[in-house]
Amino acid sequence: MATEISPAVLGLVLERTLEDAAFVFAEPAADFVPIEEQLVEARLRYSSDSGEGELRLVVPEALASALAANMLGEEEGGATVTGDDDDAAGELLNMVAGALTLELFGRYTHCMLGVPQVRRITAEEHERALAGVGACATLVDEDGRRVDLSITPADGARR
Amino acid sequence: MSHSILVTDDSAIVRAVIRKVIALAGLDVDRVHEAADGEEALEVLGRTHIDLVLADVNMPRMSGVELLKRMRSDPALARVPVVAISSDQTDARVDELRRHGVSAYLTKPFRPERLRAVLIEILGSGAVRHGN
Repeated sequence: MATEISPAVLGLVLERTLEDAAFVFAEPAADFVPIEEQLVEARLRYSSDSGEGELRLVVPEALASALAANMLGEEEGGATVTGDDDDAAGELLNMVAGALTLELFGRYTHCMLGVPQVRRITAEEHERALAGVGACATLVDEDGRRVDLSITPADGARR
Repeated sequence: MSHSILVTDDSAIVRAVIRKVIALAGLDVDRVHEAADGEEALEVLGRTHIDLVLADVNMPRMSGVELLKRMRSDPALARVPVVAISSDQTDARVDELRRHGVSAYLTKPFRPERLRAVLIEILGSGAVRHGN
C-alpha cells in the first residue's frame, strides 16, 4: 500500500538504509545542526506510475569517507581515493531510492530509477537547494554529522 | 572445478564489496572479472569464459535488463546464469527480470551470506572449497 510523502517517511528510510548498508547509526535531528562547508551531493531522478521527481542526498565530505570505508570494510580514512567517497554517496542514494519508492508507491508499481549524479557543493549551494524541495529529512549520526535527504516531486507540491 | 564470475555494476564500491564477499565465501572461484555497465560486460563475455554473471539493473549505457536480453538471445551466452543485484524492490521489476530469464535476484543492500547462498545454489555445492 502506498504512503504519503513526508519528512518522517524520508527519515525512516534513510535511517534504516544508513544502518543496513553502511553501519552508520543516525537519528532525526532534535535541534538545529549547522550545515558543514564541504559537502557531497547525490541526485537521482525517479519515475513511476504514481509520480516522478528527484531525490537528493547531501552528506559532509567526512561522512562520505566514512560511508565508503564502512561499505568496503576498511578503516575510516583507508578508502583509496576521493572517487570512492562520491561513489559511496551515490550508491547510498541508489539504495535509499529503491526502499523509498517501494514505501511511497507500493510493490506493484512500475518504477524507473535514474543513475545517481554526484558532485561536491558548498553549504550555500545546499541551503539554496533546500529552499525549493518538496520535503526533507535531516538526520545526525553519532559523530554529530548532518545528513539531508530531500524529495522534489515533479508536481511541485511541498510536504 | 574452478569458476569464473563477472561482476557488473557502475559503482566501483559495489564491485569491490562483491569481490570481497566472493573471496571470503570459501568458493572455488579463480577469476572475478569486472564491468561498469552492460556494454563492458558483453565485451568481457565475448572474449572470456564466464560461469556466472552478477549484474546491477540501473547502469549507464546499457542496463542490466538489456544485458540480460542480449545474453538470452545469443546462443553462446543464453545458458550463462545471471543474478540481478538491485536497489529496486518492486514486484514489477522482479517479474520483468524473470520474464527475461534471470536466475536469481538480490536486493541491495544484501547480506554477504545471502549472496554466498545464491552463488552455491547456482554454481552447485561442488563450488564450495573443501573445509569450508
